[in-house]
Amino acid sequence: MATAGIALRRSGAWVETVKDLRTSTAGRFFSNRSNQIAVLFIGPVVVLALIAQWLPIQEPLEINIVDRFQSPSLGHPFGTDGLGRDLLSRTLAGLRLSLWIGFAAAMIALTLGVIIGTMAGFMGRGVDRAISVVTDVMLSFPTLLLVIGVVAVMGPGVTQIIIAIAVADTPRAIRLQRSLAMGLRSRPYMDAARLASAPTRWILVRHVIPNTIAPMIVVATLYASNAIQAEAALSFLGLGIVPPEPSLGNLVADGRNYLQNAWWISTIPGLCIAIVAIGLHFLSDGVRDFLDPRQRS
Amino acid sequence: MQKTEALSPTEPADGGDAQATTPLLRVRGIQKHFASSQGLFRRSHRVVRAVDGVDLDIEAGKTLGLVGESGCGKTTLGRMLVRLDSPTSGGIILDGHNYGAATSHELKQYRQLVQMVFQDPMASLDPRMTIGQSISEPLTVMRICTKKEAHKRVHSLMQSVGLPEEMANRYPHQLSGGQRQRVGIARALALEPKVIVLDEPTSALDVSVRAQVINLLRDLQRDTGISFVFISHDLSTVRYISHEVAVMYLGTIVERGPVDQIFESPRHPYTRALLAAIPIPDPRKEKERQRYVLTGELPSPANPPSGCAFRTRCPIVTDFCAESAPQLERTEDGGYVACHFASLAKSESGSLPVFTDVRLKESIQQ
Repeated sequence: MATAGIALRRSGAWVETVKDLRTSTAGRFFSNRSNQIAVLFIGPVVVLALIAQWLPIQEPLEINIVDRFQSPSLGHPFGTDGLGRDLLSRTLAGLRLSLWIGFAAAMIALTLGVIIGTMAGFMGRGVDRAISVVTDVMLSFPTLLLVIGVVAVMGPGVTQIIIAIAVADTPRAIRLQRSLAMGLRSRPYMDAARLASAPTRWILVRHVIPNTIAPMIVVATLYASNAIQAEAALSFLGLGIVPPEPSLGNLVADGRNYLQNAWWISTIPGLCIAIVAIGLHFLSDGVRDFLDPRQRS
Repeated sequence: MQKTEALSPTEPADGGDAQATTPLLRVRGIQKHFASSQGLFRRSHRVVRAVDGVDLDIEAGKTLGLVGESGCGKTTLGRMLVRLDSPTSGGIILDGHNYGAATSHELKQYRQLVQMVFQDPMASLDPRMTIGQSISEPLTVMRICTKKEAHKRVHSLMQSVGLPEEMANRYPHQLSGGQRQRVGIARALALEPKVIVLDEPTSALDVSVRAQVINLLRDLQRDTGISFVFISHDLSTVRYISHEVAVMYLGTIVERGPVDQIFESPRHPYTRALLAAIPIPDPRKEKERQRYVLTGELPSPANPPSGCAFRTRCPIVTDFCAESAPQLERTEDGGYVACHFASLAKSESGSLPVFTDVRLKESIQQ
């Protein structure tokens, strides 16, 4: 953010300021109440999902028919399913997949949204019209329907799901970026940059994107949350991740026939979806405050 | 790029060549027309003449005050002077080159010579850039100097506008309004221009801060010999800072001349009405003086009155005013005025004109 500032100041005093800034940046992030709640929700889940393969638990695909329908216990903290597979292990594997899908889909939508939306906002009427027509057509489909359609064409699989969800989110991101960019177009500081003979590239990179990226990141966290839920919905419908590979949606779908006898099979993965979604919503609130330069002292 | 000779300057009526010095920046017959379409199905295109043929001379080291009420086109004129907007027609001549229809390459050259300070100091600074980054932006973009030199230059610029060096790392929201406007001035000075257009630079500031900023501008002019175009509706400020004043009404200049002449013996009824609106800081005098209040609204520039644009609100209007539009004509005390009855209306500032012509008086009462 302060690259030019860094270039401007190479004195010893400046190095110290950078250090101060870094420590205070982390401090600022965690002093925000929304961020604290978000970390509380997502932190343990993410850490567990990432280290799952090194934990001393049963492999997610390992079948142990003797131990089927075990309720949660010390040996199987989340219980086992109808084939005796360890649900803790399967849930964590599903979580990792879900988090990856959420992150990847949101990043794709964010990147495409920023690039195409900025083009629509800054490259004149013709480009804007063309882009707007395409996004409008895509937005006229219900999100889930669009995702199902894309998956139906491309077939199931992690990459396909990521692409499908990104396709559904990108028009929204484009629209948002376009309106943010257009709002900036007539700001006096844009005029000031033009008076400095700044080329369009400079104006976009130094003024437009830094001033629009904060709200875009905020919605991107919401897109991540939506993507996780969309994956769960797709897998639940049997259109997503192919069993036996676990995903949160698959696990919920697996357990729905046994809800009365083995409640844990569906409930615990379902709770995980909720926890991650809620955590991401808090994170988006916190990130918004964090990225606002006015909140800096 | 045209040479000056190729352009026929439309000098006001009787030749205006009496000036000893050639002005630094000359504006000739500049126009800005906007097309506005109305109606959903039956599209009728109307032309809004925001600026309709303006001539200006800006002398080196001097300040030209540009006054007029909201919507008279003074901001559009200012934006054309820095070529943020391109004129529909007309010339902007600086150093013998006409930049009225300059290409982007020529504009780059022009922008090193003419810069601008904006009205709203907060909105004119990128909230995500530090003060140092904002001030050095023109230097960085134009690649005028190395980053090390730019760093030094930023500090000297900040010093010259009275900002402490440490502020370079701050963000705009951490500064006061006056400090922000000083940053705007420092940024405009960064390229060492010859002319700075100031678009109501003090209207967003407190009165106490306003005086500081105005004094800063005067000091800068004294030290660097820079020229200013000071756009404002604050007449007392204009009087304080300007050497020459041009009064705009509905896209045209109705009167211009040396500041003392405009304020002491205004000729145009509109100028007098504007001056009459300045409060006198003496309640007894204020009570005694005859108010010269303009009625009505500024007419739409899309549908201007025939003849003299000011006739719909003029206290000394006659039938003749509807037929013929007055041109800027030279007065004996060195100014220019566009009014058929300017010589009749010569009187003290702020008071009603004294009419000798009975016929004229009757036509007003009608």
